Amino acid sequence: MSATLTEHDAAPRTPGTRPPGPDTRSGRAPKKKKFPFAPWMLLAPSIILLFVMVVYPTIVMFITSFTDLEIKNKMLDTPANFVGFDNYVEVFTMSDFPAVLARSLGLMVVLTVLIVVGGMLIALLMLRLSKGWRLLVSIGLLLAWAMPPLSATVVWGWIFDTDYGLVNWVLNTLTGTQDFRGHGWLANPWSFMMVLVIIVVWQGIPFAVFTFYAGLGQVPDEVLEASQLDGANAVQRFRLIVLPYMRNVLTAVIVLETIWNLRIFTQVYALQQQGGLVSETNVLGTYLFRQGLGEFGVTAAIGVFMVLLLMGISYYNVRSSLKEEEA
Amino acid sequence: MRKLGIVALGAAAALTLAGCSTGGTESASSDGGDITVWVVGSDTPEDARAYLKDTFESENEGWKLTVEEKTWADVSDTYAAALQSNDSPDVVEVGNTQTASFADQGLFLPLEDFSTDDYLPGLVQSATYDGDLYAAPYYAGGRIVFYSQQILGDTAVPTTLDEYVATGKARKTDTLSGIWAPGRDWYNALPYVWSHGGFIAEQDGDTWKAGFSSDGGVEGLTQLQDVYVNASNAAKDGDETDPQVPFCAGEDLFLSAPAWVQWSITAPADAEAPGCPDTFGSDLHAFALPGLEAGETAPIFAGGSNIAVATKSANPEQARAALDIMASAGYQDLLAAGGLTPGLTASAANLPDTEIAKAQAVALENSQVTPTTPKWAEVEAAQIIQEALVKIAQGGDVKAIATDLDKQIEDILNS
Repeated sequence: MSATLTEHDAAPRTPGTRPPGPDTRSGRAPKKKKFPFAPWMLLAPSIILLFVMVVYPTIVMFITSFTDLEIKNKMLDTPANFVGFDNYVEVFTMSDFPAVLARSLGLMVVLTVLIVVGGMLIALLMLRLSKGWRLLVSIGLLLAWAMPPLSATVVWGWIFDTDYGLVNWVLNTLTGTQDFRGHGWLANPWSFMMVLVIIVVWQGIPFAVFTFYAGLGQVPDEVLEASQLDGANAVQRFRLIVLPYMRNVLTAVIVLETIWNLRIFTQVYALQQQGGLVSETNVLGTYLFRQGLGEFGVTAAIGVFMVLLLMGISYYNVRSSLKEEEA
Repeated sequence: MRKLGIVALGAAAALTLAGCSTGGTESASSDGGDITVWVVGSDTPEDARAYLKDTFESENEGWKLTVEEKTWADVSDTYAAALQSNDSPDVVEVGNTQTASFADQGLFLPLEDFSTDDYLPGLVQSATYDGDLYAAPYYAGGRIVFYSQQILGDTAVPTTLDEYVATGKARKTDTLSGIWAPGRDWYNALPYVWSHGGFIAEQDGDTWKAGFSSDGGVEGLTQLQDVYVNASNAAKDGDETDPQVPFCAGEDLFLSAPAWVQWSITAPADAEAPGCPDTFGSDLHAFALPGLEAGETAPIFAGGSNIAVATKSANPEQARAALDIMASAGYQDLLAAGGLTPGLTASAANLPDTEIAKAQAVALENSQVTPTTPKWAEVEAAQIIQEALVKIAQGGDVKAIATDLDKQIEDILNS
């Protein structure tokens, strides 16, 4: 994801947008003007990488979404047929698509809010901790972050297991009853989502904490001190001083979390393997994956839709952060 | 600037969506290389794997054979992705109900000059698509009902399906499942439907008609709901993996499972996947699921596997050689000794002379398969049958759920 971050920084230095020569009034550079080799050479690796990893697959996905490409076409070397907007019509008329979309968007909002708010609170906490405690919290966060999502989800699935899960045992022990014997946490779509939110937030918070913590270090102490002398309380200091200084960091984290949380796949998929009803817990990613075997046209159409959706959602955030940079 | 940011963002979004690329090393030459064989699940015995490797490597100088183990959950998507890549495995085991679909997608090479005369006709039929043979029969298997004598005690072994359900219900307690029946175990649900005269789907001319909501289907599913709700403590949304865990904890009276589960139950207590050879596995017995009338067995699902050569195999000739070994008497004898009904009919003589092996043979005599159409794999991949069963296990309205399910199945099969 560093592509987004570095690109922000690199943007103002893009050659061509700042013509080096003084005489460009005619709009066409005079012949003697040299092509700016050095900057372009420096940019070349990232441009090539972006093209191979991003532009080309996006174009292929876009084209595929208008065809009926199947595995068969690839194996037998036959071209796919162009079917116009059929795939899009099929996706948007599927009876369960609106529910999947709503579920994904709802999850995205809940997850992003929890991760950003929780991350900020823990980052503020870390500012005030002594060195030893701070180290302990950092290591704990790092471990949660470093664990592969698949393994983490499987372990969390065991914790919430219907027959032998830790949670059921703890609840039974605490209440002194057998009410939770065989309670299926994943069977009900709402409690499935609760377990899912716990897993994703648990694993998503460390990134937000570290980023915010680094950002908080940039807030000058003098300004905070001055405001304190002026009688600003803690909430006011946070809202009026810390937040404005943190604005860029905050935007970056929110945009990234929005993207990550809308395209969650591993955790949902792995949890669905352990229980629950697939049709009532699908999000866009798993819904796409569970379309027919090798129906690339329809899945590409869903993919294109997801890209457009993400760009739309992030448009406002990116625009405001870029304005800030230009100012 | 702003535009560039938007582009970068879109790029980032696309980057995260654009998915995965696989890299792999390919080694192909006429006088040596690697052959990869994928088997599914732990049921292929270790000595058979060793036999395959040794025989192949001694017959093909300079070649190396690796057996990799996949899970049944992989067989749909992971297989499709791997088989169309340039890093494809060479020989793969595939479920009998899925073979036609893979052949239809062009992922398997047709097997030329393979005589099917000596193999199980049911498996040969499942491996034949459009008149061509695309896979060799590997093994067949049926589900039988396990029990531990120390738990059953003086209770008689049931002789009819109704008695089986009644015993399961009568013996169920908070800590003991009369019949261990997780909701997503759909292979074990089929006998109830079939016994009462229901069916999965039948072809009428060009269209398929699904039969879970037929009178017999609803009757069977209603009885199954009785089992889920009143005889089983298994997770309503659980699947059939690791059935030995509750069994070895003494939490099951009856456990309907594939015959090879006996090895999971009797595995040493200190194995990686421990069994219980000294406790509940010490007096393990099994019988074929009884039918509606005494003396009958219930129709069970004829499970099984085929083996095929991948179209994208870098060395189809050697892959075929490996496949031939797996279909040969030497290898099939080892499968039989492991309690699997071998694809090669003659190797059945090597089946162990145990109660469990006999129970499986009896059960398999009355067995049925899923509809033979390449579209069937799509029904399995969509998991709609499992979902319907989970809803039934949760106490939903059987008739409504079955009607809904039939509509979904017909939509796929007739599309």
